[in-house]
Amino acid sequence: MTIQEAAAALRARQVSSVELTGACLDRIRALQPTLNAFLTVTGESAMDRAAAMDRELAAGAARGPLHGIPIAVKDVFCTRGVATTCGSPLFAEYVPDHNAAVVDRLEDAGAVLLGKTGMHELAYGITSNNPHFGAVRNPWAADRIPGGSSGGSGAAVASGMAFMAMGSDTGGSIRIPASYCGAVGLKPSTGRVSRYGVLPLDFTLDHIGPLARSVRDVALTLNVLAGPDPRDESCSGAPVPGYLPAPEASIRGLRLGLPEGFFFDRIHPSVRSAVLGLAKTAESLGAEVRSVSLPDMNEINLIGRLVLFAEASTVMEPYLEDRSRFGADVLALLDQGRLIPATDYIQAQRLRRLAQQEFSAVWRGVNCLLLPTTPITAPPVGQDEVSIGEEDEDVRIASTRLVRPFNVLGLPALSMPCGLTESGLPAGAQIVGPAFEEARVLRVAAVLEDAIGPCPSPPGLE
Amino acid sequence: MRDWKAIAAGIGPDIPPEARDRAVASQERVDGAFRPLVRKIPLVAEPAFVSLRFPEDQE
Repeated sequence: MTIQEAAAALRARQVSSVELTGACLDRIRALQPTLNAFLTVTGESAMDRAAAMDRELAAGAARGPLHGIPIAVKDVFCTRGVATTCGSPLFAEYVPDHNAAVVDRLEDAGAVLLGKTGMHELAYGITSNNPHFGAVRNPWAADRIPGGSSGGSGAAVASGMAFMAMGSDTGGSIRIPASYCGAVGLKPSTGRVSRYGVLPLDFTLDHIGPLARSVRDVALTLNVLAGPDPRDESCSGAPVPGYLPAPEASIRGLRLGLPEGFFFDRIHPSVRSAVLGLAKTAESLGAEVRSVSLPDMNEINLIGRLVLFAEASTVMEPYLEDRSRFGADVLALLDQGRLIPATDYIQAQRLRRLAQQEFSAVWRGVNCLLLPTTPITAPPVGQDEVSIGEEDEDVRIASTRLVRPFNVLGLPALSMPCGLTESGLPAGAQIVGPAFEEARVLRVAAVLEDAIGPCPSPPGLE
Repeated sequence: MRDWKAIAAGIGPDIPPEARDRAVASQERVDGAFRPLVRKIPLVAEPAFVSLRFPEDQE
């Protein structure tokens, strides 16, 4: 069931928020031992809140489509009175006295918080194989990773534990779990959604966004999240349009760019074929799919890695005196970041600005880009390398190289399921648009989703 | 080419030698690709990398 369907059922009094919330909590109780998707479950307060939302509905005070809908947030979002660990022992005892801006907005919209989802330690990695809190596992195959760092949010949404879960994305951390778990995930433009009250991994690449089971669920959540926030200086005052695509939305005449080279060079054949199949669907719906040449993505990835190394180590440096409180993979990245001289960091940011200027020319030829989210499907837990064709590649590099560029460039990028591979695992396609054109990205994705149908539920979880 | 071992040694004694060597090896690879990019940056006036606006001006 999607948020739209649940909201319609709530309005028609066919179901109550207490029933929806109770069903989600039952699901969590049943699947948590296998998937480890949650770090904290706020069951009692969720049921109280659901009952309050039902009373409001009964009194005719509907707040909108999220009213009474059970949701979860990654454990990187501050939640008043609820532990916020960031997946690290550093913050194991941290109980904020305030909510992140987006948590306040979701509460104002009537959402019911089920709890805090598991994640890669400090959001600094993509496996969600957390040495302190255990590995989060993929609902499609529990021996595989859900991706990360928002792995618990991806697993929770795809397995039906929550209707929507919030994630953060510094180098793909919303879109990678969306791709590996068969969910829809949106990384909005830089500045579109407030980062106030989100424990930072870095300063200039972090983005906040939703994961859900349908494109329109992501869109209606963005309606609630987007907008200025004086508490976050980087949050934009750009106008917020309505993001929900109309049922009769069309992509006829839209120019959709299919990039040459990089995005399809080193990719599993079954993922390539799923994404190209989606391009064919777009064509059949009247879009003009054209080949497009992009700036050097390897360079943009390199710039992004250097910026991330330096900024993440800056954030964490005060905590590095006690190395025993970090997992080995995160510690290695933090060590590397401490080596980077200020001059190199600044050069990387200068190069980033040039890359943004160069990339803006792409939008003169196309309205949106269509490309794969990840070149592979979810790899097994604990596997460090994957084979793509005849080459072995680090799982972290393989998982991030097609998504990181859009953090560097600050562009809105959405991952949507585009079919199952022969191994029965979901493949993800990415729709990317110009800055602050989330509405266009969501319209393209919604029309394509309408055509190919929603991603099926994982086996055994129908 | 930067001397990453010397830079690592300058950070302080809290990084164990094996962790330092691992970071140096990894950073040498990154730097090998990064240095040619830096040479391409044109010398023109650019904005600062911090906000230079007063809080009163940000309404």
